[in-house]
Amino acid sequence: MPIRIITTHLEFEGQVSEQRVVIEGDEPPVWGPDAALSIVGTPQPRVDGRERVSGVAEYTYDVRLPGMLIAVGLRSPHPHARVTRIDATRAEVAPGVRAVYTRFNAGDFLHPDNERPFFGEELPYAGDLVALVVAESRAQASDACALIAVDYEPLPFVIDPEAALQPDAPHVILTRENNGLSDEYPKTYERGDITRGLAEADVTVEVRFETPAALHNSLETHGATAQWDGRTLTIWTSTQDVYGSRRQVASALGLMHNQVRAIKQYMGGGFGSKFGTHSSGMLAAYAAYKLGRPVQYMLSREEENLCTGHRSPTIQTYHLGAKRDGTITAIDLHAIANVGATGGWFPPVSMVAKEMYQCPNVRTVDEGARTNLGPFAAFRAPGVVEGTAGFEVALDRLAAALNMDPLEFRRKNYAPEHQAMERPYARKLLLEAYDLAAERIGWATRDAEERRYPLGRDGHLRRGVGMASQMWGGDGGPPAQAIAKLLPDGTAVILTGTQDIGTGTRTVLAQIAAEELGLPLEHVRVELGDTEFGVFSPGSGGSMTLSSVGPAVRMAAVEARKELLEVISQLAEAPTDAIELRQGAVFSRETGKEMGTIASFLDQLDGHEITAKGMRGPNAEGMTVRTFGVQFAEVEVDVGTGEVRVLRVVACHDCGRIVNPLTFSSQIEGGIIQGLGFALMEQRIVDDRLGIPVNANLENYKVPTIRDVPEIEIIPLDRPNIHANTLGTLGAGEPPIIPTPGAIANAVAHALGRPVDALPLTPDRVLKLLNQEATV
Amino acid sequence: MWRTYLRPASMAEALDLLRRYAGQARVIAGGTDVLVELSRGVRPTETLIDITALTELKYVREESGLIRLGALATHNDGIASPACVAGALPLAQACWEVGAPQIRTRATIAGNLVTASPANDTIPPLMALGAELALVSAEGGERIVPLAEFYPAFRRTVLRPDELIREIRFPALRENQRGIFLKLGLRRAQAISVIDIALVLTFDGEVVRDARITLGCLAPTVIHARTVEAYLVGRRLDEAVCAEAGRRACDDAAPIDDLRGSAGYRRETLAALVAEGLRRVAAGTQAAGWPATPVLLETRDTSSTVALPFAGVIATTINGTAYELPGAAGKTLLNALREDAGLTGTKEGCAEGECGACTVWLNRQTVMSCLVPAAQAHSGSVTTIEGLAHAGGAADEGDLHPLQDAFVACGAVQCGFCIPGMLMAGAKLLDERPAPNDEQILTALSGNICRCTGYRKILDAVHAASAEITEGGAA
Repeated sequence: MPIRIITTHLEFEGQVSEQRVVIEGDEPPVWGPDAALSIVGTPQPRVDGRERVSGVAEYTYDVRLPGMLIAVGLRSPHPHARVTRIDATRAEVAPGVRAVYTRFNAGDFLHPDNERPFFGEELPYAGDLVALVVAESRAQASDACALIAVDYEPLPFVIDPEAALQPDAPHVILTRENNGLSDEYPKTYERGDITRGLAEADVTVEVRFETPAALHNSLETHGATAQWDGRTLTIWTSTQDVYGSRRQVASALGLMHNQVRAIKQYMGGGFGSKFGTHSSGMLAAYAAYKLGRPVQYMLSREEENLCTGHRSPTIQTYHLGAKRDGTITAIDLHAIANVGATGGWFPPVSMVAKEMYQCPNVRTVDEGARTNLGPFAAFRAPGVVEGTAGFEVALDRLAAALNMDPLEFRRKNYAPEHQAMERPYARKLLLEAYDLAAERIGWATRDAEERRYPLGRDGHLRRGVGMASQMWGGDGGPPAQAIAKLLPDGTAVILTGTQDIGTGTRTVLAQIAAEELGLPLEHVRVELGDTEFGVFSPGSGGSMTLSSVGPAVRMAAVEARKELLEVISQLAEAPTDAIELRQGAVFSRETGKEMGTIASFLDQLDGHEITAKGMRGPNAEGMTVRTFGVQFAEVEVDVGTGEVRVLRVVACHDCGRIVNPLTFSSQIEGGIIQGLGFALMEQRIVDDRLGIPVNANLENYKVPTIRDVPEIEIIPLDRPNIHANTLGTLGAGEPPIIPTPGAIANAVAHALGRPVDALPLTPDRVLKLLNQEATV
Repeated sequence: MWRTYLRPASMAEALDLLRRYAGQARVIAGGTDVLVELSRGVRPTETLIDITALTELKYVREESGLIRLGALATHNDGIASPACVAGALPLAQACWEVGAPQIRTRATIAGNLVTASPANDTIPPLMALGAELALVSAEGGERIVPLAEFYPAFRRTVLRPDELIREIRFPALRENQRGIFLKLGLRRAQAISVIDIALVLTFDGEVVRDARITLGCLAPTVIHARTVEAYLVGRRLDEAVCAEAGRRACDDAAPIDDLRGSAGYRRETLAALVAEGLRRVAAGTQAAGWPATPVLLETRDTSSTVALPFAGVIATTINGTAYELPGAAGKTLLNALREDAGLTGTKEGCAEGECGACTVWLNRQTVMSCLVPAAQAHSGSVTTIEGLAHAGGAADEGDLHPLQDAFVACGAVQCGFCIPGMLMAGAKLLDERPAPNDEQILTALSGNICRCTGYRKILDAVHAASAEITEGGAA
């Protein structure tokens, strides 16, 4: 097949990049609104559900290899220190110990992405790695760790992001000139004239809003098991990105890509923190490579919460202006994200302020501040969850200052086009979503006395309703490949290099292939999570997995079907267009009669397997594809104790075609609960004087339990977006968490009649708000 | 974490061991606090003395107006005891608010007292009830210490290294006495108290004759609110008195800022909580919300498992198969299952009893296996996710437990890492209550964290399995 190299544009977590991709063959036409589909669009239980409920599913942490050693890390207790001496002699001779790695014997082992040593002399945060003990058992490795003597020279530290950006602040990393992210520091965007916009406004508000560090707390920690057999380094790693893991491990160890195999069949959550294989995986690979024995290094919960990333805390300062009629004239945002000590990027907090509502005069400044804390990592819509919460809260303040209904105010400033890029959206159903969801939550009666005071004016309960809009990408993009194979028994195997991070990827890809191949779902097996299949897929993130990989799978299945029809046509001596495939059987279009099973034809070919390739084509040019949505939340606040209970959330998101309503609604519900946790309880707490996190555990870092769950009503739009990709799908992973914290914060403000200035809305904070003068 | 695991067969042997180890060993029963402390390096030890074979200490009984709790009485025992609910409601309520169901099956009330945190929930009610402790030692015999004198300072007790709490006892509430326990946490379940209070009031008609009000997390130890106690005597509990008592309680408290809440928050909510408690006692609604049949996640029967002598090699039955685990005496049950028995279906999420991923059944109880010393499974039986289908009566190889089927069908699984623990808790609930209501499901699963699904479909799945089980049973 002829190949073409095409330049296309890909938006990933707010960053637009140009990408050159090889296209081979043609994608099938998009499944439009009228496409007759029988498996796609129906609720299907997970094809691997049985493994996941029976204890059979093998997670990274469950991998057991003969002769496997266990690694345990020793980590710095100081926010900033220099390691001057390490005495590991007692540990090295302790029972069962096979190796102790420190900066003095492994200091030249460098992280392939930033060239920082894994065992540094300078340790810029509490939880940075000092030593790694590899032993026959976990107990032996832990015991030996306690025998290592380390001399630390404490260094000045700073953990407050605003303090860190002051000229006289301690250097977070001694060799860096300042604590800002140097490359693009700060990142400024401007359109129109912000000064004029503020001058033209009849009403202005200034809002400072702070969001906390949220810890991913995936139930399975980061880690890996690695094995080197002299030919191949195999790494089982809890990752969202097997190909990224292969690249990182190969370059860290100086191996060729073809010498590394990365495997991830099941993982216990990632939420953005598990791109590549994390330093823990590279260290397991290093030790296995050096020792010639399998090594497993899984982090403890405490290590997980100190060194694998977090949603960066932000300080957002808005200066907004509007005309008396509600027209927004100015949006000015200064956002500081505390990104921790290392790491090379910062989250796009300003993305929604630039784009969500119509405004000619906009200025946003994003700053990333380094501090002596663990590095941040992507966390389910990084920057945008925080930015949406702050911006939507600020908008409610502006609406209140204008004495306007918050929803009416948003409708008034609806943005039909992508203002920052001056081009249309492929589709925007947000006004419809507003109507449907507002009706469902009962927006019109939100101020009714009996609704706001369920126990009467003197009772201790107040209720409120709030809302927030959502936007995100998630249309996917190239490169992504797939191979479809039809076997002699009429079943199919789909090979891809993607991974199922828990979202149901394996199931929806099987549905897509079964649809095109005319096979029952159980006759399609999807292989993924293994670089050995040699079929590249990108990492699973940005809500793009389905929309990137799904079209490649579909194209492979379509190509396989073409060949299958050709084969049947020649064997049955009937033209291909007279044959129809359904549920694993071949039918005559003319008579409707079954001509035999697919297997009965393939079986005549002595082991011939049909193999076809598919790939994700380029993205549409000249327009921006987005998911838009809205959530409304109703909350109840106990004014005696400050406790907030979320009663209901109504969610309406345009995620394009819904391939599997069951996995879709599961994503929406899961996103809402994570958003609820961020709004009400989740926060890393750092001791200011000591500079160390004090709740790096699940005892004092609270995540929602089943008791915190509200009623959730999902209004599915389920309409293919024909500009997105050949499936018409958009992502659903990140959209549902984006508006939840903002909607809850606005609902709490409504209940209290007080502005909300920070998350999480813990009982303590809510009572403090109640003690302030009423201003809303 | 520990090297020597001893399980004495008699009280005399236990006391002798305590004398010989002279403070170098730690006593363990439920283990839910001890194992967390050991993993954090708090009060480390190389030797555990397990007293769970002293089954004569596992009792809650009422005798001539006195309620007696043996050292091995668990929080569940307090919840399930009609004597305790009738004669010591604040204690039963505190037991109900502690941790998660998988903690309450194991954690003893005596252990809660010995941990000695001002946030331990059973201390305020027992203090308000006027409890005293019978402490025994090999050399000193038995001595009686009022609970009010048990805590000399923050996280300290007067328990001597060679002593054991044998019994907790206090007078049952009389006709003219009413009490309540109230708590604020940072979450609706499985949360350590930010503050907690217990009230016990004695009435002459509607007039308060005596008031005992105790406060947790409001001073270095649990304290009495003496000002309020004095204020209330001789008064009727009208709205003004309740509110004023709440305000005065703040004078008795000396709270601090900590990572769960500020001192200011504690003072402010103390007033609200005391006032609310008094209102409810005045109205006689102190028991409102107490479940008629609390979810326990254990099969309660009288045929207690006899713990055989333990000589260093764990012999146990897992999923119906006999195992010998020679290298596991120094491990948690979770690690023994995964590393020694090779059963990796049980997951580690936090290794400190906060997430429930490691939930299994041990001797008919639902437990967090990360907080159970493996040796406690010696001569017992364990059911893990790998054995759930069989335990649920699956007839054929390959059949699943109805709850497993329902989790798949309802889409209650995403990444699946929490699911083995979730299923073990949920399946025990269905054993206990084949047709649970929402409230019972929420209680049963409140100790199991899921980070992906949003829980709604998990709730659906338990209902679906319940329908399958109860309809199947009827057919």
